[in-house]
Amino acid sequence: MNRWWLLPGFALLFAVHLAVPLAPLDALDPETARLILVELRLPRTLLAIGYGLSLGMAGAALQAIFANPLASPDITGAASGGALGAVTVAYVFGLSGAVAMAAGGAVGAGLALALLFVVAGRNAPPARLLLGGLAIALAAGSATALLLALAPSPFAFYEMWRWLMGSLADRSLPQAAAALVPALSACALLWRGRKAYDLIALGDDVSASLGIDPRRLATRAMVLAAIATGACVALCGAIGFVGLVAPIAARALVRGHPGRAILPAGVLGALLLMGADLLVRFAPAGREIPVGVVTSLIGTPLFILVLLRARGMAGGLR
Amino acid sequence: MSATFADLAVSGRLTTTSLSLDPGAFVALIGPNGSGKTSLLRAMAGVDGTASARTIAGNALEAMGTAARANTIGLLPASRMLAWPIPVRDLLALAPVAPENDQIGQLVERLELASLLDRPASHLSTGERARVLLARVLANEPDLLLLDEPLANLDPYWALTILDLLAEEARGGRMVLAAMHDLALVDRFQRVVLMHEGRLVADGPPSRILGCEAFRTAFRLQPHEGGWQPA
Repeated sequence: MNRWWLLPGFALLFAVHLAVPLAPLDALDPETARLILVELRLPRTLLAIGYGLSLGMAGAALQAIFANPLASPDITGAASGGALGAVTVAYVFGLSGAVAMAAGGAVGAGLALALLFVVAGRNAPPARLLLGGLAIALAAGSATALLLALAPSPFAFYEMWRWLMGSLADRSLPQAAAALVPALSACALLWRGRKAYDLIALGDDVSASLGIDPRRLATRAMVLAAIATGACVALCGAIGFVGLVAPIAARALVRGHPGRAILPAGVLGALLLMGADLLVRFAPAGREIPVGVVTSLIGTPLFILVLLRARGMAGGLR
Repeated sequence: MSATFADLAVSGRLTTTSLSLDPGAFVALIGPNGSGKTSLLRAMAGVDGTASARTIAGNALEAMGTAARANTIGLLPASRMLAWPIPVRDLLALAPVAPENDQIGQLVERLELASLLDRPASHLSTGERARVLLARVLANEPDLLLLDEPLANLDPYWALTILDLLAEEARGGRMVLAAMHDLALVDRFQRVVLMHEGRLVADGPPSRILGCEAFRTAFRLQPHEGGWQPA
């Protein structure tokens, strides 16, 4: 399959995501229909695209610098760290400050990634990366649970719990902007450095001889991935598997080049998240299913399939 | 086109060392395990350590951009590991600026890589990968080749063929510095640099270095019936 097929797919899903369900729109007067589209649906569609793009591109960059196909915002603990950072900020300043929460999410995700890089650096065995990421994710999750348990009111607890499950619904345009402006800026910088992420595939020594300092590139990638992931997690909660699966699929489209895969991974991430968020709308009337539940439910069997196919094949996951 | 390296040092591995290479230099770097061969190559390539000057063909390495570096220094590390399953065809062209197709085509023919072109480089045998990675370095036509054990894992046919290829590159004006493990092939080089305990201890034509006092001390060998035995 050619990666350029992603573009018409993207345009189609964008239109469908914005227009479905059609039901109230065609019956309403144009002004109300416009309000529903711009005020209610557009932020959700933009968040699905922006968050999916961020997860895919951050995952691709992390996998490139860890030289490991398992490095992703969820498995490295970056998403959990981002959630902890955002909850901490919300605990202190209240849920209203979207910009402060996005910043808290980025800082939390950055700290989690920095800690993991100390524990399992570049070219560490996959087991070390997984165990390190697991420990960090569990610790951040427990700290988040502790903050929620100590929350002032049960209502606040429920609100935060629902938000942590990952949902794109009911965010305003300004809130979406607070997360998406930093996240997409970080994505643009990741994309600009794509050549370096390709060259680092030749190994640390060769890239250093070309004047690309692998440590500096890794630090840069982690800061940008933390901003991209953390800002989105802070607003929509953690959404699993997109940042893991999208880069693995994207590399298959670009003959294994880790840098060239960065943008396709972002587009695939946006497609996955828009698709999952469409499924959520078929929930029984009056119920709402967080989109993170859907991505995890679809992502887990996919991930197991990838693992099974890779078994016995050295580096098969890559 | 020559190269000068002044006061190279890597803490704990390489004591302050200076080295110059003339145009067309074809030099073997020898020394026992842990004597600092890899550290010297990495320090020359600007990967590690400090230096007061790294000048190649009149230009300072530190002042060069990524593309210029690729055409100036070709580093082949001892590790042949590749993290990603990039097809050989793509790997050969993986450089800041992709080399010309003619150049790649000639190397593919010379190193018989045609049948490997569409296979993921990370899935090849170590010997095949060694040939592919060497071809990738040569494709950029760098002024100075810094090769860490370029003949490791190769069968005798390929070891000799690649040695001939490197000698040709040197005759064409490039500088070649190759860390060598197999002392039997060292007399084919024009010059030998001997390292011991992180310092450069002897430098000269093979006939003078092989078997000299410093050589015997460094390798802990003594002559025995036309060959060597542990001292």
